[in-house]
Amino acid sequence: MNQVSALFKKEWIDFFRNYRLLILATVFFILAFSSPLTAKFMPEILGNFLPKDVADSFPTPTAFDSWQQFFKNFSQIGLFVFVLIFGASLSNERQHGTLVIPLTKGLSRTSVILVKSLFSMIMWTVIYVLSVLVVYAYTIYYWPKEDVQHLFLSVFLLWLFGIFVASVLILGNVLFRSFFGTLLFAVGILIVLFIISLFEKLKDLSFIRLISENNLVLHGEYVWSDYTGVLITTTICIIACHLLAIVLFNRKGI
Amino acid sequence: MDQVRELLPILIPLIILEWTLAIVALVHVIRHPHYRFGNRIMWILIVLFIQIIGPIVYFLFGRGERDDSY
Repeated sequence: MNQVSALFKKEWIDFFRNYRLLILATVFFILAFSSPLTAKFMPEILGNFLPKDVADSFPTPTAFDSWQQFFKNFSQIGLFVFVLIFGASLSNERQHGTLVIPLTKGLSRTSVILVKSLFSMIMWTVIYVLSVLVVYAYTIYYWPKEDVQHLFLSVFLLWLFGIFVASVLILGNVLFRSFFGTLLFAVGILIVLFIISLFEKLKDLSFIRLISENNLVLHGEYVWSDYTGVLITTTICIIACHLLAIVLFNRKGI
Repeated sequence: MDQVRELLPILIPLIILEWTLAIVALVHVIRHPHYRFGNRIMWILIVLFIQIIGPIVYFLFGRGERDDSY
């Protein structure tokens, strides 16, 4: 227990002093604030470029547009920044050899892996939840009458995808020594997932559903029971990534 | 004008966030003379004039490796 809390403290200091917290928090909040803003402003901006009759044909923005912007921003830029921030959390230390002394003094490798991955998941969760609250507050403020459906499910799916990305990152960190190796590994996994989602039979189990169907969920087209299969496969993959990372890291030279 | 006023509650936090990032990066550029590439003037311009992306690129890629004084 002592080991774990010391490791958490170290991760936190590293996260704070290397400006990672600053970057992650400001980018996420900027994305969160700009989601309702672009939703509200988009027809005006387009109206300046397009002929008037085309511009008038755009529907007035709704609460759905605001959430749509949020999901678009977070599933693309948000996750990309998350990968940039945590893509080198372990491989960086292996490159610089900063783990050699603690590991030879008896620090367990399993706890290194678990703490690093848990830390990235906690950071993702905290900042993500705060961003969701920001979007929620502004959406209520600008569109008080409109009610989106199944908001929690929709937001939960994107959160789960972030957790999955975090566990892919920790596995990539064990497999590769460089940041770009991890980055390519994560991109490769994403491409494989896209290919899987092309097959009709596997479509229901594809994780891409977690980030592509959020808007449909808001419109009430899917409910919790539609996602049972995906939730189970995602959880299995998250656990498998961790087990594999622990086993491989225990065998690897530092 | 009315529209701007309507959007103020969302614009103000957005501008504050952007400038916090820019100013923290600017202070860091000025106080630490070593960069992985480029020179001080280049980084000051990048950090100040490319909003959001400039400071992020600086902290992730441009900042010197040896960073003794926090």
